[in-house]
Amino acid sequence: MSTLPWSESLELWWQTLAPSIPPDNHAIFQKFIAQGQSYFRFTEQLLQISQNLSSHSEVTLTDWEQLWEKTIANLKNSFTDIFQQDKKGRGCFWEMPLDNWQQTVSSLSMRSSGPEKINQEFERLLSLPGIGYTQKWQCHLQERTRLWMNYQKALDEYVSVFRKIGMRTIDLFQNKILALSIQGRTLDSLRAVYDLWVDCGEEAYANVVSRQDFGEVNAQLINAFMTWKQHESTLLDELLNFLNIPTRPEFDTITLRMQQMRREFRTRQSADASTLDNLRKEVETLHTELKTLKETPKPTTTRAKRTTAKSKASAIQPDPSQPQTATIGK
Amino acid sequence: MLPLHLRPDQAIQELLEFNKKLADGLKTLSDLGTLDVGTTPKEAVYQEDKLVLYRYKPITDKINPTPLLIVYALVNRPYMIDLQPDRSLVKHLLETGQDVYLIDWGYPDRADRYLTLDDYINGYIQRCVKAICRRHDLCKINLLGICQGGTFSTCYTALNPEKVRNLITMVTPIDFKTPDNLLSHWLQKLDVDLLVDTLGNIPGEILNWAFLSLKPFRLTGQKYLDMIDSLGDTEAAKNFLRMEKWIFDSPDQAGEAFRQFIKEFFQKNGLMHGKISIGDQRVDLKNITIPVLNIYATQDHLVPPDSSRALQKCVGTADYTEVPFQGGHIGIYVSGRAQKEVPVTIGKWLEARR
Repeated sequence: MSTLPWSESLELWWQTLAPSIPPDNHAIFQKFIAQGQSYFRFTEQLLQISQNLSSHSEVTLTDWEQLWEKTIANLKNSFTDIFQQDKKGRGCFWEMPLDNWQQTVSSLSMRSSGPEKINQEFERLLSLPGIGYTQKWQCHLQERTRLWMNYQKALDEYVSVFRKIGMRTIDLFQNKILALSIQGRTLDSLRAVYDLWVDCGEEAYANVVSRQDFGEVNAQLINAFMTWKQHESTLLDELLNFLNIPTRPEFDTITLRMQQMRREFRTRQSADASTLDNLRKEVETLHTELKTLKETPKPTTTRAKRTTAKSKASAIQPDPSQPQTATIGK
Repeated sequence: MLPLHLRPDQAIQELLEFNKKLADGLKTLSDLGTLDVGTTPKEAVYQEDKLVLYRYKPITDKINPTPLLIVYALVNRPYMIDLQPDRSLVKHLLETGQDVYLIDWGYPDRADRYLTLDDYINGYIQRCVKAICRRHDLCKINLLGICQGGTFSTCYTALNPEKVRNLITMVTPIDFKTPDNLLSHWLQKLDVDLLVDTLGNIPGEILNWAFLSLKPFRLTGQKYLDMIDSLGDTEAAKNFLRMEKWIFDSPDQAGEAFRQFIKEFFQKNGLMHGKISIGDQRVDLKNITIPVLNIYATQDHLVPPDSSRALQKCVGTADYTEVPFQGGHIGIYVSGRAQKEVPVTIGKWLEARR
C-alpha cells in the first residue's frame, strides 16, 4: 500500500486552501501540512516494512527476528543512499534539524548560498594571483569562494553527524522492537510505531550531541558561516562606500558614540539627582534648625529677664548683715 | 506474538482518521481569529527607550506593602507568565496579595546594539527599582527573577543589597557549566566575537534554532502530530497557538550584552567563580544576605536543576529556601500544577518575610 497519494492530496488541498487563509496563519498551517506529509511518508516506509515481514505466512518468532534483522539492514542501506545522494528530503525525519539550520541561515542573509558545488580543480584556480586594476576585487572574490567552501565543509561534517544519529536510531529501533517481542508486547498502530521511532531518534540525538566533538562541529558550522558572512558584509560596505552611502561600520560608530553619551548623561543625571537630593536634605535640615531656633525663647527675652533680675537685684539692696544667698534665694 | 503487527485495513483506517483530524483541525485554526495574550489588567508606570515597566492592577483588599518586581529574560517575551487567564503566574500572584510590577524589555533594534549588561542591570533595572520605590515611598522592594532575568536579578541584588528585601529566583542559571547543560556545551567553542561583530544584534531566529535543536524531532515534528489529535477543540487549539506564538516571538539580542553574557557567564562560568563585573563593580554573591527563595524545575532541559541549585553555596544568606517543581522549563509557567503550586509557594514565603 502506498501513502504517496495521501501526501500528494494534502499538498493539493493546501494549494487550494492557501489563498483563502490569512497570511499571518500561513506559517502554522504549513507546519501542520509539512508534518502531515512527513508522517505519511514515514507510514509508507513503515507499511512496506510491515508487508515484507508479514508476506511470509506462518512465521515463528525466530524466523521473524531474522527477517527483522534483514529488514533493518536494508533500511540502513537505503538510509546511507539517501545521505550519499544528498537529495532533498533526507528521509523526511532527518531533514527536520537540517531544515531548521537552513531556515536560520536564510533569515540571516539575502543570499544564503554561495557558489554551487565547487570541485578541486576550481579550488586550484583560487590560488591564482590577482592582476591589473581589478586585482583587489579578484582577491576578494577568491577569498569569498574559499570561505564558502570552508562553510560547505563544515556543513558536510554537520550533516555527517546526522548520518551517525540516523544509524544509531535504526539500531535503537531494532533493539526496542526486539525487546517488545521478549516482553510479549505488540505495536499494532502506525502512530505507536512513529512515537517509538521519535523516542529512538531523540535518544540517539541526545547521545551524539552531548559529546565534545559535536560541540566542535556545531560551533564550526556557525563560525564558518559567520566568517563568510562577515566577508560578504565587507564587500557590501566597500560597494556602499563607493556609492557614497553610509556603511554599517559608520552607523555602528555613531550608535556606539550615542550609547556612550547616553551612559555618561545617565551617570551625570544620577549624580546630579544625588547631589540635588543631598542639597534638598541639607535645606530641610537648615529649615528645621531655623524653625527650632525661632521657637526657642528669644535672646532679648532672656536679656530682659536678666535685666529684670538685675534691676530687681539692684532694687533690693542686700542687707550686708544678712547672708547674700538667702536674699537672692527669695 | 509478533512485536510489529500492522494490518493494512487498520492502517488505512488510521490514516483516514488522521486525515480527517488534520482537515478538521485546519478548519478550526482558520476560524480562530486573533489570539489574546497578557490580558491581566495593567498600566505602564515607567518607560525608557524600549523598556516599559508595568504595574498590574491589584485584585485583593489586603496587599503586601512591599511591591514585587518581576524581571524576565531578554530572550523571550514576558507574556509567558500571563499567557491566558487560567495560565497566569501574574494573576495568581495578584491573588496572593502581591503588588506586581513587570519589566517588558521590548524588541531591541540596531540602535540598541551597544547596550551592555551594565546598561541592563545597573541602568534599566536600577531605574525601575527606583521608580517603584518612589511610587511607594520605600527603600526596598521584593525581586522575582525568571531564567536569565533571575541571573540579572541575582547580580543586581549582590550589587545593591540595600534595595532588595527578598529575592526570588525561578529556573535561574547560576552554574553555567554543569555536565548536563547542552546549550552551554555547544557554546564553548563558539566564536562569539565573530558572531556579534558580524551580525551586530543577534537575531531571534538563531536563538530559536538553538532551542529547537535541543530536542529537534520532538519539537519540530512530533509536537505538531500530537496537536492534530486535539485541533478539533477550539480552546485546545487556542492554547496551542498561544504557546507557538510565544516560542517563535523571540526578540533580537543587543549585541554587546549578548557577547558579555555568552563569554563571561557561559564560557567562563564567571558567576560561580566570582569573576563577573557589571560596569566597574565585581559581583560577589556573598553580598546577598537577604532571604532567598530559589525555585527550579526538575525536568528543565534548558536550565538543568544543578545549574539553579548552585545558588545555595554562592550566596551569603542564612535564610535560603529551595523548592523543586516537578516539571520542565515551560511547564513551570503554564502547567496546571504550576498554577496551583508556584504562586502560592511564593505568596506564603513572602508573607512570612514581610
